[in-house]
Amino acid sequence: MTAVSARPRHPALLVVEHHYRRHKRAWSSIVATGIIGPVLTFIALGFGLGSQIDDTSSLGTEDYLTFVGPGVMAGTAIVQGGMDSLWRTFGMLKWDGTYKTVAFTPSTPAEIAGGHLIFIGLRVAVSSTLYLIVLLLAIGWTGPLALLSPFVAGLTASAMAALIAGYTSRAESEAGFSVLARLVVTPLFVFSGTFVSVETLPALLGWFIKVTPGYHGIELTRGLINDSLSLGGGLGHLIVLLAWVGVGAAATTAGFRKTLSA
Amino acid sequence: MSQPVVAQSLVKRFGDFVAVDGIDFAIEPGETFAMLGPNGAGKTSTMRMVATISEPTSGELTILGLDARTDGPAIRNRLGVVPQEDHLDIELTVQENLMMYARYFGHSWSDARARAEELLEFAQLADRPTSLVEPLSGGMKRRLTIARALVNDPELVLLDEPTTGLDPQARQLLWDRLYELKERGISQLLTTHYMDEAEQLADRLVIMDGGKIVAHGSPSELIRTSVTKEVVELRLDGVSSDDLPDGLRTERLRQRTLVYTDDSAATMAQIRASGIEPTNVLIRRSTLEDVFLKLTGHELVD
Repeated sequence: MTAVSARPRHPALLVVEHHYRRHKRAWSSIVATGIIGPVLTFIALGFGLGSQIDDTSSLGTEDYLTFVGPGVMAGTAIVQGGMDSLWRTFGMLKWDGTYKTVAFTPSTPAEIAGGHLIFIGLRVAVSSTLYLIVLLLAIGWTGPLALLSPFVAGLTASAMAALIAGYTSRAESEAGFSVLARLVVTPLFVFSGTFVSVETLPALLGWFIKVTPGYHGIELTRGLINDSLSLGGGLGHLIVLLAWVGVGAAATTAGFRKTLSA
Repeated sequence: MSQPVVAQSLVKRFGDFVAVDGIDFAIEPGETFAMLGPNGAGKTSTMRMVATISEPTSGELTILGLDARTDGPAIRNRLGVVPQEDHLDIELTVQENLMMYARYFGHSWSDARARAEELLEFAQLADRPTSLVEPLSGGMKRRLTIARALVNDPELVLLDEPTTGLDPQARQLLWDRLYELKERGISQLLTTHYMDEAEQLADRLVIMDGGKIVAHGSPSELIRTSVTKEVVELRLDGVSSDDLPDGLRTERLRQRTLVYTDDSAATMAQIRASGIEPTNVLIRRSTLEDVFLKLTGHELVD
């Protein structure tokens, strides 16, 4: 028998590896949902609807294509992060017991939760990278900062995932998940500045949206891709995003600890 | 070598409900130690505390010389756990299930592969490495779960109801694997509500009921000291067990009356002499179920 090694140094990354190995067999559907969907949305809105829009002064970009293209990338991150935190997270904690099994290893609930959120972010970052290639082919090279945008999309997904997993990881059943998807995830995708500027929204709704991680993710992504960010503005968005990741990760960790230690 | 598990005044509460009520026990190195009891007796709650998944409400719990409250990851690094439900990863193959689990214990992927091959032989699944988990039979899944619990060469293996739901052949095969672990000197903590399983596998056991330990000892010791050598099971249609001759040690169940005796032939002669002719008579040796019945006043499997 081989002697067992010391406790792994980065247990959260083992959760990421676990997800990677689980997803290997389903790469085609992941590509389809992660890339093809957003690309089609971008083409339909950017070239279709965009051709009907002449005045883009309220958008702050040269044309609708450069407004909606980055928006769709970060907006998709909102949806993927949010949706991954509903049934998928609940399933791994309660239905198939994957994380219950991992809890019998030296990994702690905090490390399992951390790995879960990192994987969601990484998956979105990878699909966003492929999306970015398509986007840059369509709008042309905008500058090296655009290369950072997939990471921001990943961070946006992790922030959304963390916030929602804070609830789903301690939920007793999946009863409220459809409501969460329809009344939280989808509206945040639509109203966070993906398709239209937040400034055009009613004041109260606009104020609320500007607190959410999705808005900051979209603004930062758009600014990086269009090279239109001030340093202060960019850092501001990044700090808010990271703060949401921190708050959400704390809530998710508490939820994982409660469920896995019950 | 120190005792793998030492529990003192161990308590687990969930709100007002006391699942484990101040139990004391210790496991010796290389020993198979069983916790026997009906559903709700506190076995699984105790097991989860020993697995350092669930923190004790009060009391002391030392696992492999470490404090269960503060040294969870270090303890789990040296434990193997076979939970009640297999929870195998249905997205991974049989071999990948073992390999991925081994990764969580710090094995490299190539080391994990060698480890998995070795364990698939042990689990008699060497011909199914690339199969997904779903098509496996219940017994195969259970053996794979046991193999998974061994990826880290554990010093102590926890088995929570390891054969529940398996057919007799699969149970026997699984028992063989557990005997082999014992021969290797691996300590085992086993929960079960099957008395024959406890009798077969355990060196020592505790009988739990309502969160408390009601008896402890080796299976043969408990049977010898708590009940008689034989039991006569009677079905008495239309006759009350109160009509049985005085002086007999009886226990009335829903369908049967048990008569504890050291001489079944003499006891049956005495019953028939009193004019009672049972509809059905079964004479058998006493088991742990009888011990449980005597100590708690109710049947083991509910």
